[in-house]
Amino acid sequence: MLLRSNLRLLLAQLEQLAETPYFSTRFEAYISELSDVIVRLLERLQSVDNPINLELAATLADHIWFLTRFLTGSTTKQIPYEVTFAIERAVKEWTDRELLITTAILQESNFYFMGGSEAFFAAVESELQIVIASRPVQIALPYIYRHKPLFCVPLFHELGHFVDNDNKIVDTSLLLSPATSGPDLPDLPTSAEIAALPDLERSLATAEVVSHRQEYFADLFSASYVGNALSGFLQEFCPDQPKSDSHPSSVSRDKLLADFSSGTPNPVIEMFQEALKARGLPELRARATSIALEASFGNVRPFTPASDEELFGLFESAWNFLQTQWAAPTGPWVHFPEDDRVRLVNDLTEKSIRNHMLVEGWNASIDQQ
Amino acid sequence: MRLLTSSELTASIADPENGIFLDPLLRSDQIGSVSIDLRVGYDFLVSVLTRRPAIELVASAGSRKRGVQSYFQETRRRLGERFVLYPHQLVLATTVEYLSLPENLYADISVRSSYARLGLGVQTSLQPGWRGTIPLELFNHGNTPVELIVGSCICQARFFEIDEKVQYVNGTMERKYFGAIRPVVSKAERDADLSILLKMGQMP
Repeated sequence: MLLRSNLRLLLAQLEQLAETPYFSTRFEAYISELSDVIVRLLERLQSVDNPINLELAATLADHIWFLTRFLTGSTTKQIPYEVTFAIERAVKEWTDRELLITTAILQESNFYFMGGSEAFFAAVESELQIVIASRPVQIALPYIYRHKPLFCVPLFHELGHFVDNDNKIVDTSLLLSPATSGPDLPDLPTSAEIAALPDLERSLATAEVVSHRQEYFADLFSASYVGNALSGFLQEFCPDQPKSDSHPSSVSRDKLLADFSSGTPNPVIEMFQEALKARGLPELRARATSIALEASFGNVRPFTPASDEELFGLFESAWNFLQTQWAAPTGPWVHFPEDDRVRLVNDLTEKSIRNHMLVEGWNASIDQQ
Repeated sequence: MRLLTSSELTASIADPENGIFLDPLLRSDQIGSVSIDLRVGYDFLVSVLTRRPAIELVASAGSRKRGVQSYFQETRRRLGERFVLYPHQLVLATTVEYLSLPENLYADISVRSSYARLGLGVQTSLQPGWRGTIPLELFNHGNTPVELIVGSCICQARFFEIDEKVQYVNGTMERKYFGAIRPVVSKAERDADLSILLKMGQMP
């Protein structure tokens, strides 16, 4: 009873969402496909000739519920379209697949990414003969940061996890450089020590290596796009974190990012570059151009990026500008209280990205005429 | 005070360091003979009815004051989408364009004639030294809803040169809406006069 009832409630919610004017017509197609899945599931649940396994149906229903949660957030008309635009631009380099960034706005101080399960999409295709064309990239961010793009930079780290999961980058690194022979990671036992462990302990230690590699890759990925803006933000958001099973210590993460930024050889970075090469993927490198913002932000005016490199560079340059104006304001900024300085730099960043989006969209629209 | 003409506006925009900074200017023909057409932006604060009888700027005795923000609902659109303005409804919006005025230019914003004929009202003035998208207090004076296309040129700015330079931001006065890139609700409650007036009202 509850399963069918849940499916009908979810269908009603999707129908309601479909009536909202969306930011993208791709959302409409995606919602329509999810609705088709529910309708087909309900048919199969009531079918005598071709019934569906109840456990499978319940799993599929749970996943649709999970996907709907992020769709609901995307239609609140409050999401940070500017940051989403930059994220979409970054991920294009890493996949040819049609991706759909969906957003949940949280009332908590947390950021996370959740991918749609490939097993779900495969089951929908094989069991219900419905092909869902898009793959969701589901991101969540705190509500109070929806107009603070510089405080949303952890989303680039979360995107790094998506790219890793989607391309099996850490998995590949384990094949090329197993935990028992690969580069030693700070905070963890050396590869020789792991190799010498009994089976069970070795497997636990390897799991920890996997988690830390995933975090390091996501850090390096984000640094490729937003430079030191992420490490700067994290130093304030969650300072001096000790090593845990899932995360390296803040000190170790900062050290790796500093090596990446300065071009200092580091075996962990080299390990990922080899894995990326083996997967035929782009290398980790700075995609951002540093921007001198004194003439624009310094005069309380937005900066119009002329390229994607400048678009990404805006995050680090604006972060550095904010740090400077926070510590020792100059020019007109001496007249603004602290809160206004934070608001203005974030707003100028948001407007700079938005103007770039507008000009690009306008020119594309003219080209189509 | 002198009204700037087309050639002067074009020259001023071409020298944003010393003149008018307007970004993005999507079409050069937005510059008219004595004005520049401006586009309605993508962020809106729509006034909504609440259970409170009125927007209070100062709490009445024994009552808890609600923030002005709570009388408005935030919504975003993208350029090319539609936005319906209902009769007698106040909607706070801004222009798409971010404007930076030099210290010797003053600007008047008014609705374009084509939109005034639909019942739309807009009236704003900007002091020399202004920074930000231009606040638009949209109001439908007619009795029929009007559908606006987000990004369309609904208003125009006229620029006046003044003889003296004026420092808009100089630390002596709070600039409540400076640098705003989205609509901001009224901050009239911060006016220092209000507390003096209230005391006057309580005097025997």
